[in-house]
Amino acid sequence: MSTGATAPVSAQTVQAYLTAIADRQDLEPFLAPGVTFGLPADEHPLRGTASVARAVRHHYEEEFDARPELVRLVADERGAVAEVLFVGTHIGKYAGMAPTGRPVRVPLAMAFDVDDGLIAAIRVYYSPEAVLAQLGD
Amino acid sequence: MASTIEQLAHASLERCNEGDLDGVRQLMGPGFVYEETGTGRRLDDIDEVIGVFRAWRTALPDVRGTLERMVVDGSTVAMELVWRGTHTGTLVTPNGDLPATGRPVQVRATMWQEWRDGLLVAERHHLDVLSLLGQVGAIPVPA
Repeated sequence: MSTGATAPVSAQTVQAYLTAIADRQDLEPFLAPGVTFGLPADEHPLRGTASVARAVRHHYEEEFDARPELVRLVADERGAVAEVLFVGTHIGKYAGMAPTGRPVRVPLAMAFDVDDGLIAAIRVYYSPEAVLAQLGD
Repeated sequence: MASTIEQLAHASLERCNEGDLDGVRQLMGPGFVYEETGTGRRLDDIDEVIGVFRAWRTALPDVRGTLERMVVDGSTVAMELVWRGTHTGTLVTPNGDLPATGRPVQVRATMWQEWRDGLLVAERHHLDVLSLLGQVGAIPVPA
């Protein structure tokens, strides 16, 4: 459970994390021990700072050369929910598809649980179909 | 007494769950815009939006959204939902109509709402359409 967090703390934590992704900074300092990361269809989300940071970097730096552009953020004392544009270029294997070099601009939502200024859970909501359509599948 | 944004958001979901599309329509204000990021659909005609909702309910007549989390910030609401239903009606897909399969489906989503003067002026729905299509057998599911 969150202890003493406020909506501004949640918002600042998430904004700093998204900036760190864009700036290729170390993500682990933003993540709580035991952090989980899951896509909508994942039955078993990833767990742990190193695993989650690696997975996020994989999406943004290996499958795609991409950055999150924050569109909207709402926050409370338990966390935040963000609407983000995933903007970049397809440079690695994604969903079995070889790199196409095509640009992508995909709207998605991310929900964050924030505990004492650290991200305790990340849930990403998007449809891979939107990505595949832009890759020409 | 005026309803709070949180109460209005709960009411909109409850009316949706009850299949009360007239009630849903009553909550929509002038200039209402609906977007589904999974399908890329963007509609600014309330009749068309209600038609889309009706099509979802035709495909999944028992569909219900279970609210897992709601964040309210000013006039904006973000809801994390799980949609659950049974595919007992025709599902309209970009690749054609898919007859009922009787399969249960479960799709996680976020619904974003913007409220003004007690009325809904925008709704954005982030849902995994690919997962839904996989669950009803419209596309292969990765092993």
